[in-house]
Amino acid sequence: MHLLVAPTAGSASPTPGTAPQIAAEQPGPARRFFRATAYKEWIKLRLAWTLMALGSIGFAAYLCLRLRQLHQFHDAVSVWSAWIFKGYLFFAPFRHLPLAAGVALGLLQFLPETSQRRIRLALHLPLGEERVITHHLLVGLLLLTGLIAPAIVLFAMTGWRYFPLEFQRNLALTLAPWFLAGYAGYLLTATVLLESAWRYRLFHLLLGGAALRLFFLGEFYDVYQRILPGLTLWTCALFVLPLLSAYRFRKGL
Amino acid sequence: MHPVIECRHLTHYYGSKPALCDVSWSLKPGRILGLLGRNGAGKTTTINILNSFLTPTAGLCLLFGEAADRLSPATKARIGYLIEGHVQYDFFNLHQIERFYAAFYPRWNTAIYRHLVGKLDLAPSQRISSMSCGQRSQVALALILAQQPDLIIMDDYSMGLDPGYRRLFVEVIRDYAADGRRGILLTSHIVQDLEGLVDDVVIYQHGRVLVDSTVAALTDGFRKYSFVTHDSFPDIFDPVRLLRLEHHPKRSALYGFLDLENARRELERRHIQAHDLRAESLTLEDIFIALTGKY
Repeated sequence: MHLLVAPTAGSASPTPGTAPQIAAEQPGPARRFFRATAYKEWIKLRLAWTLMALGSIGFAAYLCLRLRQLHQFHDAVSVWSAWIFKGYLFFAPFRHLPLAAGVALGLLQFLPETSQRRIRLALHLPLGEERVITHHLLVGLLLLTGLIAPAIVLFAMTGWRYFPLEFQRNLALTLAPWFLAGYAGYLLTATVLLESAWRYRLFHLLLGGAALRLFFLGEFYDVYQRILPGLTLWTCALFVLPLLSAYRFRKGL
Repeated sequence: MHPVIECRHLTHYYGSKPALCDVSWSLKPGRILGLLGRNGAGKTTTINILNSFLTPTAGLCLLFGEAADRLSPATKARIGYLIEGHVQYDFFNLHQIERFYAAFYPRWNTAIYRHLVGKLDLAPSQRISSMSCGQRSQVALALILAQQPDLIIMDDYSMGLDPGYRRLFVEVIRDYAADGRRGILLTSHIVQDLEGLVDDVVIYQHGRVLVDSTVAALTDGFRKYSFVTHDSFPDIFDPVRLLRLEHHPKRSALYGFLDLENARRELERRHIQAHDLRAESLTLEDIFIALTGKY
């Protein structure tokens, strides 16, 4: 009884026992692998991502309309003085949203990978384990940017429309830590989920909580001006943590 | 030619508890090897080491001559791995999952995938999460075979499958291995399915290799002799000589690599008076239970 069909003429039919020449036969495997990973993550996340994107844009648009309304009911000088003298943060209700989006995206992306230890499927793919995880993280960061970027654009456009030029720089410096917190939250969530040892998981949770606190210390304009470069570097450095967790998972440590 | 898999003096501890103790065996090209053992015998630990999900305390595992924990992508592309419970990405549908995996495997054969999945009579848009356990297992098998790997590792492939799907697995594996050049390693708790499928068998007990043999040598040489006796004796198992003696009020039994004459001598040596001593045929499952015990 033959249940398997012979390879078709158009398909690859190498001799068993010989290693396939991946690099030589298929141009651009790195790009192909990344696109395949992106495809997988998109299929997994598209519904949740679309809903979150709509929520993020909707909320940002609401805050922008509220500012527009303020300008319509009060004169511009009153609005600016509220900024200068009272330190009123016009977009403050949005401040935790990037973090929530990052954590939610991390959970939605990596919970299915870690339930039933499904990440073994990805780690078994024919590319280096670090590359597999890096691809997953890059796709996640791109999707998170897709959630956050429209809000940044909306806030920038609104700032440009209603505030003088020197205010806009302050606005960018004030919003930047909120958005960085989204990326940090995503990376820390991935770290905690990819970690197989509970003691390390707890350690990462505590470390993550403390790290994320750094992004919300001040509620005034310009408060992060000096430490923003350091905060950005700190967020970039967090990229290593999920790779270490995945390494420990792979080695059974 | 390198063995497809070679385990050399593999030892692993979970804390202070030994899981594997100096385990060595190999799988040669063209052979189907059944890795058997009771629960907790060390099978899954070995599979995890082979797939680089665990670093052994000591020893080495080689796959196609490369260390299991440092496999090159090209070698990984030659290995198909069926995870226990037929775990797959269940958010995909049948079409999407093929598109995903095909990007990674240069030997990908769509015809094999569609042929096997076509037997399920499901729409390509059907999500894997909405399939039965048997259907999911067939999708997982199709995905592995479409990669055309030179080595397939199947961890407890029969888990949760009804007899129909188990039979299908056996037939498909047998067909795949028919060219005699690929290696297949499988574990299963349903030993009776493996009879007639596996060429070689490695049986673990308490983290050690109890038997490493061809199935033919095992089924030809390992015998059961039943007898009636009025003597009372304790059940005995000698792991060095692979000899088991079981007392039963009706017919007691002696198992081992013994012919009738040697069986008689063995009983005499133990001062057991055996009446009506006769050989009985054994299946692979009978042999497995005789070697590893019932409880």
